[in-house]
Amino acid sequence: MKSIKLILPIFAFALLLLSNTIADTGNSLDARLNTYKYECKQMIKPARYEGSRITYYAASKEVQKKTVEAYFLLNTEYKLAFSGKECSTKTSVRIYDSADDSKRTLLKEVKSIQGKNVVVSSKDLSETFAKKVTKTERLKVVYIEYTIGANVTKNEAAVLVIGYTDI
Amino acid sequence: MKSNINFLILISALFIASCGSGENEKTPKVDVETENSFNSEEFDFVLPQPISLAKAFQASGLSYNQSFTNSADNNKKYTTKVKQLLNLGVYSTDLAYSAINEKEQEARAYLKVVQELGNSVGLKPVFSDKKMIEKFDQNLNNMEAIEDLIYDIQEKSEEYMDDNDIRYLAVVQFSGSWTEGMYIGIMDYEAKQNKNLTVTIIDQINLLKNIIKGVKTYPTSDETLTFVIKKLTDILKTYENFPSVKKANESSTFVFPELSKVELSSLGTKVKDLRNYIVN
Repeated sequence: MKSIKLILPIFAFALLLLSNTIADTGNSLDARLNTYKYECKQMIKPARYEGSRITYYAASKEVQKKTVEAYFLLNTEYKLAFSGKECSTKTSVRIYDSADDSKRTLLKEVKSIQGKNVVVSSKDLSETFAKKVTKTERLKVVYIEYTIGANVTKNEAAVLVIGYTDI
Repeated sequence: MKSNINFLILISALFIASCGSGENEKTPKVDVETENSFNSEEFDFVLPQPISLAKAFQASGLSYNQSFTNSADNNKKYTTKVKQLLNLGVYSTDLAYSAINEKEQEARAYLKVVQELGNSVGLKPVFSDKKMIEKFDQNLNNMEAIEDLIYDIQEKSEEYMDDNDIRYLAVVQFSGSWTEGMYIGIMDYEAKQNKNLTVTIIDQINLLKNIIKGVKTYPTSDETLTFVIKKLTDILKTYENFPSVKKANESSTFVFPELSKVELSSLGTKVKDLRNYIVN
């Protein structure tokens, strides 16, 4: 009984320490992601900032896929900046014109963004769209598919920032 | 000190291990919780800014008509958080619509209500800057600088909501922005029958699926929001069931739907109903 009385406060204290460590890990990841987001924003300048999305993924032995849908509402050049600096495994980016597997056309592939920042222009995507899909309509929506390599051992994320040339 | 901490962690680990049932032995609880909170959904989206909605309509030939906007005086009517969020979105579109049409006084009035509502819904760190209106006044004849200010507000709002895990507020706000943009577009189309506007109306309907998905993430049950989701879903279903849309979707090649007058009228009625519900 006496030993339980002794262990309980120690346990509570240790749990507090443990949760602080986990919170710190999350906070420092967020801080790093904010830095990468800032870098991406700088890379798309002078484009107007349209939005961003941080795609989080957890530790896994399997290959993971995540998709982000983005819109090109305006008839102007859009810039997509990616940061894979937080990705510990090969992370490819494939950009499609549709979410439907049977109808979609691959517009652009970046083999891996792991450890670096990459910018893609909608001009390249639109050229492929015009060649492979249609010349009568412009590209207005894209589906960005991340394929994250197997054996991720911790929580990680890829950053996307979108901007456009003002009209 | 370090060895003491290690000792405590060791003791706790042993304690946790001794408390675990046979089933949970292989799954440390802390890891599972962290994993869930860090894992994005398989399908996510990035919505445009309200000023982009307004610019897309402007590029299609939308003209300015003050009577299409929500009066800044209505601001005081919105007392619940959800109504404030929805109308923050409505006024953000009205602000952008006025600014890109160089209506300085109207834009100034909308900036004031956007600031007031922004403060009311918990975005004080973004909207409490008393110099915001001052900056606007200093640039009254410089619409590019005023647009810069609008982009700046949008970016800061989005960042604040992302950083504080309150992205659901942004989507509710955006649903108000979207409804106002569509309302203005449809009103202008009905007044002038400008066919180019129908293309932009269809482009913006394509945002609806993700708007509904996002609004549904609002963490608490709310009567107004339930009604708004119902109306938005009805607009989407109505659109998807239009013969012209079905025909376009059935095609094996890329076809852009061309809405008939009847279809546009039906869509217009539903958008106007929703907009009237939000602003009244």
